[in-house]
Amino acid sequence: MNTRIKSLLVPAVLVVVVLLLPRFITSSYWLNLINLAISFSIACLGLNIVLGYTGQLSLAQAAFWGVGAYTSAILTTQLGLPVWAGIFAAFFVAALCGVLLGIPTLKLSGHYLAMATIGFGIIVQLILVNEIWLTNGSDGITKIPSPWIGSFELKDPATFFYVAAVSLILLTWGAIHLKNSRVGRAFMAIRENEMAAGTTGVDTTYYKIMAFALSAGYAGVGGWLFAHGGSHYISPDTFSFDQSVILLVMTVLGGNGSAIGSIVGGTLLTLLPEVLRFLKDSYMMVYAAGIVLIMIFMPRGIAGLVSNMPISLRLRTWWNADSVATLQVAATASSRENSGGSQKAFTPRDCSGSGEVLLTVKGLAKHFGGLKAVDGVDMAVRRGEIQALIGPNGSGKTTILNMLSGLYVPTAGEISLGGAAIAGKKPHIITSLGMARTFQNIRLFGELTVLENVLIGRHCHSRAGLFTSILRLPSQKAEEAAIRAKALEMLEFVGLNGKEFAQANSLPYGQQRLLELARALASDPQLLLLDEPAAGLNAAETEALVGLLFQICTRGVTILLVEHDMNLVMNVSDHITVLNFGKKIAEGSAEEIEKNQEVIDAYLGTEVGNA
Amino acid sequence: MDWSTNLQMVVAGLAMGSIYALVALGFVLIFNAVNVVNFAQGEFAMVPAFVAVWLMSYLNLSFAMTCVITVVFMGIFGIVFERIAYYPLRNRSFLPVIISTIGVGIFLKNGAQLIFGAEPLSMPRPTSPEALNFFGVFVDPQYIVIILCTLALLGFQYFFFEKTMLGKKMLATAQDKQMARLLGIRVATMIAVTFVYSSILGAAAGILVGPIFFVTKDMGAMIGVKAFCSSIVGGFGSIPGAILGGLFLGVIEVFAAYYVSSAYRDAFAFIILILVLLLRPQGIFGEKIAEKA
Repeated sequence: MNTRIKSLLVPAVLVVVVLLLPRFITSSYWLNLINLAISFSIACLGLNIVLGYTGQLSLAQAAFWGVGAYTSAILTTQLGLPVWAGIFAAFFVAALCGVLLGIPTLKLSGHYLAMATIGFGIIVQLILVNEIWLTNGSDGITKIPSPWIGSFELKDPATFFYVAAVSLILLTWGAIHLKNSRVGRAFMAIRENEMAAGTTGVDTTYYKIMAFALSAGYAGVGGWLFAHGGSHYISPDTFSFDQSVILLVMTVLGGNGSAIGSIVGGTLLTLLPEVLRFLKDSYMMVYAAGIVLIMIFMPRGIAGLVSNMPISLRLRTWWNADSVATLQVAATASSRENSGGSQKAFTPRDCSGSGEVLLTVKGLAKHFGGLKAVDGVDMAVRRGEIQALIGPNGSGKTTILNMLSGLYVPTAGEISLGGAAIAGKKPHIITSLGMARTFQNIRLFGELTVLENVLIGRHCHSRAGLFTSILRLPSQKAEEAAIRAKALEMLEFVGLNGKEFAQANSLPYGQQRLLELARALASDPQLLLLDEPAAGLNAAETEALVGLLFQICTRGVTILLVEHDMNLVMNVSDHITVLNFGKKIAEGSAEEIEKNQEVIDAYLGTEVGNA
Repeated sequence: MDWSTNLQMVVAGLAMGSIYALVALGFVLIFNAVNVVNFAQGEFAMVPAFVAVWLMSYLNLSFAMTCVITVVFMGIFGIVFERIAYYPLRNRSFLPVIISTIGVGIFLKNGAQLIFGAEPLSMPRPTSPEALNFFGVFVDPQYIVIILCTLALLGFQYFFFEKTMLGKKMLATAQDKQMARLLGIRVATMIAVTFVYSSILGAAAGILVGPIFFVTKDMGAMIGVKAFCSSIVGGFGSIPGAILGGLFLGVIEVFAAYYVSSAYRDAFAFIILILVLLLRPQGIFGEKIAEKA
């Protein structure tokens, strides 16, 4: 079956299902319940964006859902706003609340965010109850109008179902597109490893707030459906903390990170109470026990269970068959282009640089309380060279790399990269100015594929924004193809071709190091910082790494290297800087350093009291 | 505004703040031990309040007897809680554990409603309902009891962590589990003990606060979230921070409810929380800790 027919298959099935469902389910009670399930599912889709994609726990989804419902209800009943315009008002007001809540809290992670969102939910409920002039207090808002098409009112549950179903389908389609886009990958990079996301070029604060706002906006649309369908009545107690928890459970039960899972979870748990009616008062207890059991026994939810079944594996292979083939063609093409050029033509001396200074560091210092980890270091890295930064353990090497890459703010000193002052700038800005790094303890986006890891490396050289990503516009497709070509080239370069679709975590240690290198190179850095790239590698792998370093250098990338393997350092470095106790004690060529008495003392510790 | 009203409010604020501080300590001790925020911490105060009401009102036990039984009950409760909500998920990331503690919290709330009914219960007062008159400042004696009991507990806790081997082992476990294990400390046991201790703190909070509020299934939720706010305001992970943050929030809340708006009384804790997060994320007494690269 060709791609065109495949791409029409899903829409065709959906149209048939949506058109036929009200024919088979005629009871308006059940149709109302289905509409409610759709409203919940949309809120869950939103929660899935912030929790599943971005890894931030929000416990205010019901509050955003309520903000959407109330916004549209107030505007349509009091100001006579058309009901259809209410959707946009619900989306944007909820999203705005998301931004306002996100700005103070998203700088922090996990627990703080979760608790701050609970607080937000409580404040929203207090406002709904107390600001009677606006919300009519605990009595709620009644007689909320239905949407109209021409002179036809979409009032009965069967016709409102079409509105709900179309919203759900469009929003799901958006959420799925988002996942495989530049923005979605930035979200997932934050989830997998926030620090590495920053040094790979992702503005983590910006994307977290974006995810939060989008998630709130989705909830707002869900709230719109709730207000204008069903009983046409809303009151504050619907939008409680307990409801937020229920939305969370729906999302997690369905399968955190899976858009379809959110819908399954949302629908299942809306209909389940009907089945569990006989439990009466103990219903919430059964529900709560269910949450704990799901966490223990089904960590990846229903989506996780289903996607591991043999039938779905086969189905996925069939579905992806064409796109995988296309990718492989692209991969071989890029490798052919490559092999002619740099690979064989290197000699170590090719690397000696132009002499122009790329990175200047002056008086750099970092103090942690009383500890002077780095204390007034000057150094310069020349373009085209491989420079090494060595020193005994605790001499401040990694601290310097962390300041260079923006993870630490220096206590004092200047850093300039190609003329731009970068000291104290955010990691993603430094990355976009042309510096990339790897980490001593590898920091990959473990749950993502090898290819996705490298694609994120191209983040700062691509521009697709939220709406281009969701709508999958032609410009986004072209950019995506370019990113892929570059990523495949990088994988080929480090020798990971053929592993594109493996999960990054599943690679053996040595290959994980190579993948981190490929990800760093994908951002086209002028300066590459490598923090102990040979740590944990065996002799053969180290030798391959040396070859790779020379090749990277030949491509015009300057390297600053922290390494304990002295053979490697002496072998590759044009210039070596030696640190001890946060101060520079020597610099020069490999020969000079080998003979320097102070360096020998530092490593062998002849001075009394230095050990 | 006259000074005696203000002083009365200070005492009331310190009393409520003591409750927040006790529950906040429970949060912090568990967080330090297992790096997870226990979202059912408020229920650690709700459950003993119900147990105490039941013992006193239905079994007609004396106050002292009730305290002993409730503390023992909560000790066992702490172990059971740890085995269900934390232990099976100990090797996973914080998210599943948080969700699981939320689940247990909802279970407890609805369990309490199922057993004791939805009507608010009132706990018999161990102190006289007559306000004491200190030179024109009228103070509910229960407030004094709350503040004194909290001080006594804090004193005991200081002694426990500074002077006893068990306390030292718990601190060592919180600092570095692997090293503690290498030194022969039974880390799993220490974690269980931490949960027990934390839930006993909850027992104290529940018994102390019971007489001034009605005992309801929802009483724990608000105490829990405010206690958490306290621990962040004070500096998360810091024991003195949790205590001072609790007292601070308790007092601020009473004053804000009186002078600003009583309808939004429950919102002030969060407004302060958000202000602190914006201006001084490490908390008033905390130190900034950066993740290691």
